Amino acid sequence: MNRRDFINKTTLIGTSASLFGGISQFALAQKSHQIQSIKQTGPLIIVFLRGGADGLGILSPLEDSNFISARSPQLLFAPTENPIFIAGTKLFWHPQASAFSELMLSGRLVPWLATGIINETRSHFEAQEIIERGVSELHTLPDSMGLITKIAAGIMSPDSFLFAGGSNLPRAMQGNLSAIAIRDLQNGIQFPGGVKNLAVLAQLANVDRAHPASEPIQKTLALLFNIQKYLDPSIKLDFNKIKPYESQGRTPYTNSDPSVGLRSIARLLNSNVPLQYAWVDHGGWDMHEGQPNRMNNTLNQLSQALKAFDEDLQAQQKKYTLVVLTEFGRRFRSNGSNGTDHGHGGLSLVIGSNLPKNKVMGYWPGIAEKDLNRGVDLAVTTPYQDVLNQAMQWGHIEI
Amino acid sequence: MENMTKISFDPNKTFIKIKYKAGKFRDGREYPAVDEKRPLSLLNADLKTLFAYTSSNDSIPNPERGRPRQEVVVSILMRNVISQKPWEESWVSFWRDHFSIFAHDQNVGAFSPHWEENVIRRHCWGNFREMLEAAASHPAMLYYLNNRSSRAGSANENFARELFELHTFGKNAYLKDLYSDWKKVPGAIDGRAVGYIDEDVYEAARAFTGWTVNDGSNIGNNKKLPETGDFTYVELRHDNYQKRVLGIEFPSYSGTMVDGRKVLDICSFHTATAHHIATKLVKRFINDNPPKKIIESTADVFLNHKNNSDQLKKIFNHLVQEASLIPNSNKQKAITPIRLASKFISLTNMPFIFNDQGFLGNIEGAGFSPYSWPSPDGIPDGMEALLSTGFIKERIALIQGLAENWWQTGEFDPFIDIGSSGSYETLLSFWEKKLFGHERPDLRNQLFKFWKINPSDKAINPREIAKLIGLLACSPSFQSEVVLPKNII
Repeated sequence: MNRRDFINKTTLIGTSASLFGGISQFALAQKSHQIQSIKQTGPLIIVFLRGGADGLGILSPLEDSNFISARSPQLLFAPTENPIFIAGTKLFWHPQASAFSELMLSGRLVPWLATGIINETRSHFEAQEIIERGVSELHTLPDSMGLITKIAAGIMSPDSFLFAGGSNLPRAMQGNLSAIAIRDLQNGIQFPGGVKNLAVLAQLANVDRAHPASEPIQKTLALLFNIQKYLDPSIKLDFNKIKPYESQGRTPYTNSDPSVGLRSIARLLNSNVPLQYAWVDHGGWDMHEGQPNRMNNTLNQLSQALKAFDEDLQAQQKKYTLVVLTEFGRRFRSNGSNGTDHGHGGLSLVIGSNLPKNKVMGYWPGIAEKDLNRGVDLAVTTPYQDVLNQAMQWGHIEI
Repeated sequence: MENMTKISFDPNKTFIKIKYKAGKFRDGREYPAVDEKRPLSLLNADLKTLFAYTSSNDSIPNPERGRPRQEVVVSILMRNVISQKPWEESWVSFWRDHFSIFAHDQNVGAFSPHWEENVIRRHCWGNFREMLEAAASHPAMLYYLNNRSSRAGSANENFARELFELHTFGKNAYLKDLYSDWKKVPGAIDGRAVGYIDEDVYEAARAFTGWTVNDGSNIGNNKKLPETGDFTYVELRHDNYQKRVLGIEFPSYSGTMVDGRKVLDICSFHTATAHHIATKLVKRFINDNPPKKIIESTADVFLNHKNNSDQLKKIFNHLVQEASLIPNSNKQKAITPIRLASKFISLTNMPFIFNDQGFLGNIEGAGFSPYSWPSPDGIPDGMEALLSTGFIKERIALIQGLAENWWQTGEFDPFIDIGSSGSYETLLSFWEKKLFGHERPDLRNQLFKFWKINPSDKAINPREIAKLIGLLACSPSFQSEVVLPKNII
């Protein structure tokens, strides 16, 4: 679908969404969805929920009898304030997601329902790879580039780099662009032996360039130097500890994921690093067992981190667009372990400074037995590619 | 070239730091503050002892519950350091990563020493089918992939799915588009399905219901399982009705553990499993881009010896033979932080002592350390993953820290075998031969230039030489090696 069609359709949401549910789903299967590259006015940040987050447990149709009978009572919660209405269904935010509800009310969050991959896989590792390569299937792959590398190719400025706020670089950032993963920048970058060692090691790697490890070592050393120069403009020769970063917002960052990675991104932006694309992983969403407790903890980590990040960036008057994605939603029916197994349709969130107010995106496919994918899972009515494309549109256009 | 000094590993003389504040157990009893060094004591502990470290128990102070995992990581490090045959530890670590468990989850980590010894090390030279059952019935795996709580009625699919996708068939044999159309799976009607579908996952999950842990949980009528932490089969939780897995019919009421064992048979003897494991092995031990021909022949060895008690050793030797026909430059593999440290310690003849003064933290920060990968697909392999930008700085710190003795792990003698009367040139060329197998004047000249060293000057200061040697070992060429030995074992 082209951009105009897309925007026309999205404006219909909330009024006749259910009408489009079945049609769009059929149409989706016929298309190969392309990721676009749209230059943003602020950075595009992805927070990826590893393990398959239970969208139905974050925004729950608590008054739908299908849902009530499918889920163990311990997976339900008392209705919360400010539910979302879509296609005749009321969705309630999980108590630990109250920060999302607040962000939505202030026009800084748009939930997107029934999103995911247009692919039947219920494997974490296939589904993650599909998204991280920006494709819909893995049989015929156009290239080996990651999703973010594809989006950034051609529009990332030469002095910028892809940044992952974690200890390893995600598949989504692999490819031919400059990229680095650092989980925690709270004390800056401490390089053993200071800049002198860094320089001589870069020389050794350069001389030893016939070895395949030479390129990643040289690239990393150059990036470490550049980043430290931004964080500490005096660039003292010893790469010493620098002052810890302090958020400008009221909600503190915690020392857990994804808070730490987001804090690192905030620090880079605060130091005027020309950052355009960033990624943070958040693990722990594979809740096959003991979901009530796990959801409380994991969702709390996520919502508090995003709240802290948003407050921090607002106070700094920085624009940004952040998309929360996961590889798939979870099974509609809970299992006997008070958990949920791998499912299909999930929930995405778009958070940021340039969003339409009070909007809910997506086509609610319904959760009656006949509406479920394979009779067991929430259907996918919007491919993740469309979520990203729309988020980038918003990030591009001043509202 | 590898080391002559005997570094020993005696768990009773290897200490880890235990330090925490006073606190309370869940039932309100108090425990005192602790700040001491304790020898490793849990490596051979039985399951009952280790069960006390799970979260369901209340007899170990919470800050101490990570100890089983810490001990096992230290033991892996030490076994690598003392090994004269590093390929053996690489083989062990391949299987540890293949049946990956996440020991930072307290309930899983509690059993990790027993798992390391009784599942990984005991079986990794033996038979795959036996290893698979050892894994499937070990409390660490039963907790990790939740089969412990799986029961008839609404089985937990976690273990069954990863058994198929990760431990055996592999994702290439997942025919996801067929979902439940089992008759469309080629070969299924004759009981020889080429791959699996979601419905096979559901059926297999039913087959494993009742495979659980003696964890004190209620089995009805106020009857409780004992709290001994070992495997048990609870008939009351098993789904006894008929099943169909990969087109093979399972009759109802097959008998104790028969359904689950039948699934393990199907998995262990399938061509797809042989291919999946062969592909991973060739990638891990020979080349990041594994040659197809070697994968094929390795899969053949896997299947031809599927009932042999030394099936896996035969596969190892097959890989050794195949690799011996390949030039060294085509079988370089990036090394893990533990191997990087061990190689440096061994080549420098360092009198290494494990000292819990930050060294372990550095090892764990420099890459994917044992039992630390959260998802069951296991630690990534390959140059790109191991030398990811996030790890390079920590790898450099690891080598420099060892060379300069930051953590009191031991000082090595840079004048060893050569005496203290040589020039910088003589010394460094000697060390290049040790580190790289041949001289690397291109590298040492950079060091001389950078530090304005006159190569013919006499090198006197051992600390300065040690530092230069450390820098040499941070070169790209030290980051990879040929993993397999020249001859079969």
